[in-house]
Order: sequence, then structure tokens, then C-alpha cells
Amino acid sequence: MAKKKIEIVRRRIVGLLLTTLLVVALFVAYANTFPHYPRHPYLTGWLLFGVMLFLTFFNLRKKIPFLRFGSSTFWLQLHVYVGLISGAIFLVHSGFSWPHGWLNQIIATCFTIVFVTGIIGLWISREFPKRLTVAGFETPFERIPHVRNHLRKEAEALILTGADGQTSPVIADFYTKKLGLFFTRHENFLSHLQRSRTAQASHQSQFDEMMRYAKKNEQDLLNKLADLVEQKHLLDYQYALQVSLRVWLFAHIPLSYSLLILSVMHIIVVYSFSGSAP
Amino acid sequence: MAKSDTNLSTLVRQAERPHRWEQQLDANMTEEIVDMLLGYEPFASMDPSRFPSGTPLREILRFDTAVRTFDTGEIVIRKDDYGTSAYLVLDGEVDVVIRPEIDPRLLGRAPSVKKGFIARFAQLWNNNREPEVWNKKSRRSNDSYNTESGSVYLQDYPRVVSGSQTATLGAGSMFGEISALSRMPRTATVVASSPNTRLLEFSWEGLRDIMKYDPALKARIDKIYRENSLKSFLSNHPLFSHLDEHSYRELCDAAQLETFGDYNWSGAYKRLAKDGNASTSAHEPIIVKEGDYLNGIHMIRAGFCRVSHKYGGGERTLNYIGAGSVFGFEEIAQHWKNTEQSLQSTHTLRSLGYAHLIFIPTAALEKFANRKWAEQQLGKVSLPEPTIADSDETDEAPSAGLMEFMAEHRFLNGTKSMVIDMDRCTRCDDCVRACASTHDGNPRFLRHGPIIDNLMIANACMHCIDPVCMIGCPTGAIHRTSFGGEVVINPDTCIGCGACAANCPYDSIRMVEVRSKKGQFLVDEDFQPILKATKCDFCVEQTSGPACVNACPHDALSRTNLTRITPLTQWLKRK
Repeated sequence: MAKKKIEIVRRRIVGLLLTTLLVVALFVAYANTFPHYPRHPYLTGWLLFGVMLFLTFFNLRKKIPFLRFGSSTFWLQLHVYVGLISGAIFLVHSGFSWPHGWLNQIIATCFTIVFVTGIIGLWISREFPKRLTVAGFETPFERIPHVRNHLRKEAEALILTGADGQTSPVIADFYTKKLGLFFTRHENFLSHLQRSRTAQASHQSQFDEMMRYAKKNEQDLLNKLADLVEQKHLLDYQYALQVSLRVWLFAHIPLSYSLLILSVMHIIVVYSFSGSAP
Repeated sequence: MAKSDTNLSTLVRQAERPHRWEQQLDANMTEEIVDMLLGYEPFASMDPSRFPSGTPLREILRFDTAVRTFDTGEIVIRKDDYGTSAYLVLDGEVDVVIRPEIDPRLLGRAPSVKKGFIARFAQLWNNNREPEVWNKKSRRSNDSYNTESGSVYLQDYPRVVSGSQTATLGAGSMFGEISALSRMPRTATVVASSPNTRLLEFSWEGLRDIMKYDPALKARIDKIYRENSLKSFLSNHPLFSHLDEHSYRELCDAAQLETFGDYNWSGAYKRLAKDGNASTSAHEPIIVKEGDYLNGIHMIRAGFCRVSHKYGGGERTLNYIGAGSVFGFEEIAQHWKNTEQSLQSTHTLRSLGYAHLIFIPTAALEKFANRKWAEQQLGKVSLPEPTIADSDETDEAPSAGLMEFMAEHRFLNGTKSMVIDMDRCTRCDDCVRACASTHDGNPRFLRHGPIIDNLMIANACMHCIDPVCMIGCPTGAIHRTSFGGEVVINPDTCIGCGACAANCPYDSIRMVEVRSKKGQFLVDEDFQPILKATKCDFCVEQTSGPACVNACPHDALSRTNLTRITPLTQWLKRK
């Protein structure tokens, strides 16, 4: 285990060091060399465009797993480090200031969102799988509605059958008022993301209260129902984290393509109005 | 009394008890043919009174044998195929091709056709929009038997075998029995060399029963085995590789052949798993019990065994061992070094499913084993002690939980199992999409399966070392590729019987209802849907290897050989 951790840390340190080195070199060049070279935005602009093309290519690489282009893992690592460097190039290109003009501002906004969602996505991709593994009740995303439906049917069957063949009105009322909706939809999305157990604790105290009014065989029924509620919480947890693992991509990928299109427009505009551009 | 009878009738319903001979191997087998067979050797010399009334010789012949006729050049069995039948030559002759082997293409096999560069790219837009479209021209169809007759002919047979060394077998000769009984691949190709060669095909069950009740046939098959397979097996082991011809003969005579467990173990295993009893070793036949006097070594020829020892009130699995492994060697070698050390087994050996072993008694071992090599090996082959709590505590040994998990689910059978590190897997399903994109839009595995700690063994074909799915395939559609050894299905010859899916202990084969390009379900003349068996083929048509592994950006998925625990523990400890 120790060796494994050391190897991971070593690889990350090397990657981060190289990235930092490149970023520092860029900033040093910006401070010392670029003032003597007024057309540097053309250089950094083309560099940034090239880097963005490269970063976008990662998504295409994933769509062609049948070609020998290096492993997807290697491409993801490159994507992460080059993505970090692209942020520094963007800062240098924009002269560390928010751009003027609506097109440039849209581009800057798009870039910022893509960059930030990338960072968030990276964190989510590294953090959430471990949480899901620890939580248990692993369920494929597509099967979550089916499992939820199954849990609901099991809970309803428990209530309808009752403790001794007859539905207890107290328990039925409890189910209808407190648990009916809970079993029919995903709940506590944000609190699951925050790893809060407030909702579980709330249900637990409700069950504790119900136990006071239940007969012995009704208590067994409530215990079974509590198990189903616990499973539903785990399912909601799986749902919240698995949605998060996917949803950031819905901002990151479309905006990356939009950014490329906007950048082409930006290049056309720049060359149309720059006169004696190189 | 009457009342209780009435109650009983409400609880039970009379039904015919299922019996062994529900179906004949050959529906055309008649009493007249059985009479004819009883006139042939070895049946003519058999004493029918030795057979119990439940399994008489006549019935075995009627239900478990079939008379097959082959023409010159027609292949009876092919080298490396898995078969469950043995053959007796009734009339005519067959040639056993010894060396060089016949060109695989002439045998109806060819290297899996890899897709070219353009064809690979075309998968981006050429895949069918409808699921499970049956495109007869789309898959490798040259890696299996001819679809028309279920047989393969060698055209211009004399010329094809003119450069090969062959052994001719005439009337009364048997072949194929070792492969059928020990579930190993065929070791040679056998071709009919005379017109209208008549062979009697035995199912392995029939052969097993006849051997059980007729000592002469058992002795004959044992002799063939000792002369051919056993000598070859023993001479390849460093313990005995130094022996001369005479010594081998003596050693082979001393060796005992042992078979444990069910031949088709998947059915029994599935029942155990369903009842939740697969995790206990109580149902596994004991080969050697811990504490028993060790009177020899057990060499595993085929199948798997669980090695365990007593721990508290139960037993803890230390390892599972497969073909080529030896049990009991460490203790005996230690005893040679220090004669005061007791010769008791320190572990229990159980058969997991099915196991075929060779037992070498201590006396033969002392006489023939290479002691110098044996003493050099001391300490190298000892079993690692699994840790109780956590595999991360040590870099060497797998956790006890992991060992039990692997044995309970019988994952030790997989040579290319899909293992997923759930701490890294983002559940993005890029692997599933990659699989679909390389299989005409249809994923061939489920990213779901049993989990232990952060390890998931996904529901994908493991390309087993002991592919029980191949037992009983009536057309040979499911087969191993000649080159990589992957277990693949030829959709053109698959008749959709579902035998492979039912046999697979891991539920990795799915029966699908095939469709036309327009998405219409294909049905037969009775309007029953046409089914095909589907599973992971390890991307044999792709040059870049398995798409699932290539597509995972988080290094969370691997195809790993689980027949030994080391590759898995190394992968879990990677990077």
C-alpha cells in the first residue's frame, strides 16, 4: 500500500512540477520579454487556440477506442495538465484583465466556465467514486428508477399486508404522510452531496416514535420498513453522486465546442480589423 | 387417515419423476442396432450381469451412443477442440494426424479476421441503428465447422496428409476418450481415411458408466492414458523430467488417476449459489484432509482445487490451485530433509467444481523424483498466508476475504476477467459505449457484478480456462479461437438453443432476439423468435485489443488472468 501511494504521489508531483514550471516560464516571459514584443497577443492567441484544439480532441479520442492512439488514461492526464496550462495562457493572452467587447466577453465567460467545470469535474471524478464504493448498494445509473420502483412496491406490499393480515391504520397513515412521496421520487440531493445524515436521522426518529405505538408484530413490520427506507436513502445517495459525476460534462463538453467556434470568429474578427497583422 | 390423504392431495400433484435418459444421443438408435453393437468387441466380451438394473448395458448403448458414418477426408475431431464424446471404430479406418499439424484453414479454421484501418473507422457510422441486427456476412464464419452439414471435409485428402505423420486406427480402436473424460482439448485431429467409415460415438456419461462396470474397458482406457497422456504430462514436470523410458513406464504404472466433482459442475454450482451455499466448502469433495497422513503428492491435471486450513470454528481459504499445481510436495520434501518431521498434511485440499488429478504415491516419489530439484524448491512453493483484515496491510499476500470471494464465485476460472477498481471508476460507461461501438452497436457485457472492497468482477465473459459453456453446444458455434484461445460464438452456426447460456456459471452469455436491418424481429415458421447467444469476444476483430480497456480514462478497468491470484493483487497494487 505504501509503495502504491508513493508511486501515485510521485507521478502527481512530477506532473504538477512540470506544469508549474511551464506556467512560471510563461509568466516570466510575459513580464520580461513580451513588453518588447507588442504583437505577443497573436503568438499567445494561436498557442491558446492550438491548446484548445488539443483539449477538445480528448473527447474525440474517447469515441475511437478501436484505434491505437495511446491509452485513454494517458490522454486524460495530458488533458488535465494541458488544461491547467491553458488557464495561464488565457491570462497572458488577455493581459490579466477582463476583455472588452461583447464577443470577447462571451469567449472569456465560456473559457472560465469550461476551465472551472473542468477543475470541478476532476475533483468529482477523483472523490465521488470512493464515496460511492464506501456507501455500498452499488446500482447502475439506468437501473436506479427500476430499483426505486421495486423498493416502493415492497414497502406498499408491507403496509397493505399488515402485521397479521390486516393493515394497521396508524402505520398506513404514517406511510402515507411521511414515506409515500419519499419512495416515489429522488430526495435529499444536496444533503447527500454534503454527506449530511439529517434526512436519515429524521426518518430514524420518526420510526422510534412509531415503535412506541406499535404492537410486537407491528414492530417487526416497522423494522422491515425501516430497512427499506435505509436502502432508499442509499439509492438516493447513489443517484445524487452518479448524477453529479455526469452532469458537469453537460456544461464542460458543449461549451468547449462553443468556445472553439467563438474562437474562430474571434480570429476572423481580429484579422479583419488588425490591418497589418503578421 | 382419509383426512390427511385429502390434505396431502391439495399440497402435492403427481408428476413423472425425471430420469437420466430423457433424450437419446441419437434418436435413430434402435434395438436392432443395439443387438448389432453387442456383437462387436468390446461389448461382446462384456458381462451384462455386472451392470446394475438401473443402468443396464443395453440401455447405455441405446441412449448414450450413436452410430456415425464418415466419408474419406471427413474430419471426426479437430485438435484443440473441446469435445464430450469418445469414438470406437466399428468399420473402416481413421487417421490420427500426429505431425506436422494440418493447416488450420483446411480444418475450417483461420486466424480471426481483423478489421482493416478503413473498416475500423467505418464503425463510427456503419453500425446498425437497430439493436441485435443479424447480418450473416458480418462476422467471422471461417473459424468453425461448415454450417451446411455440421462437418468439415478435407478436399484431396491423400495430398493434404501426404507430408504428415499419421497413425491409422482400424476396427476395434478407440480414440477421444481422454479428452472426453478429463475435459481437456483434443490433442490431435482425426480424419476418416476410408469410405463409409462407421464409428460408434459415446457420450462421456455412457463411457464413464461402461468403464465403471466393465473392468476390462477401464483397464484398456487406463493403459492408453498411461502410455500416451500420462507420460507426456509427467515428463514435462521438473520433478520427473530426468527419467529414462523404463523409469517412466514404472512411474506411470504406479500413478493413480483421480476425478472429483461433477463433470458439468456449473449446474450444481448455480443451485448452491441460488441457495446461498456457494461460500461454504462443505459441498466440495475432500481430496486430502488436514491432519491426514500424506502418502503421496497430488498433481492437478485439469480443474481447480481449494486449499484451506482450520481457523477457529471454520476453515480459511489460503489459495486455489489449478492445472500444473502440485499438492503435498512441500511436506514430503521437508520430510526428506528432516525425517523426524511428521508427514501430516498441513492443509485441506478440496475439488472446486471438477478436478482431474494424478496421485503419485510416496514410494514412487522417493524412487523417481529429482530430489536435488525438490530440495531447491523448498520454501519457494509455500502458500502465502492471507491477511485477515485488509490486503493493504502487506504487499505480498491477498486478503483472506478476497480469497474466499474468488473461491465462492469460482472466478478462478477466468483468464481474461473484467476487473474494475470502483475507487477509480466514475460510472461514466465509456467502456460500455466502446464495447457497443465495436460490436455493431450492441454492448457485450454488463458493468455490474459482485463487489468486494473496491473490486468489481463485471459480468463479462472471462474466457475461462475450463469453458463449461462449450459443453453441449450442438453445432460447435461456441468455440475457442485457434490462435488467441478466446471463447467466441459464431452467430451463423448458433441455433439459439441456450445450452451455453445455461451452462455458464457466471451468467455472462445472453440470449438475444435478433432483428432485421429494419428492426423487425426475425421469427421461424412457427413465429417463434430466432435467438442467438451473445457475449464478450475480447474484441478479436480489433487490432487494438479490448475496446473496454482502451476506453477507460481513469485506468479503472483491466482484463486480468484470475487463474492465479498474483496478477490481480499486482493490478490492485499498481501505480
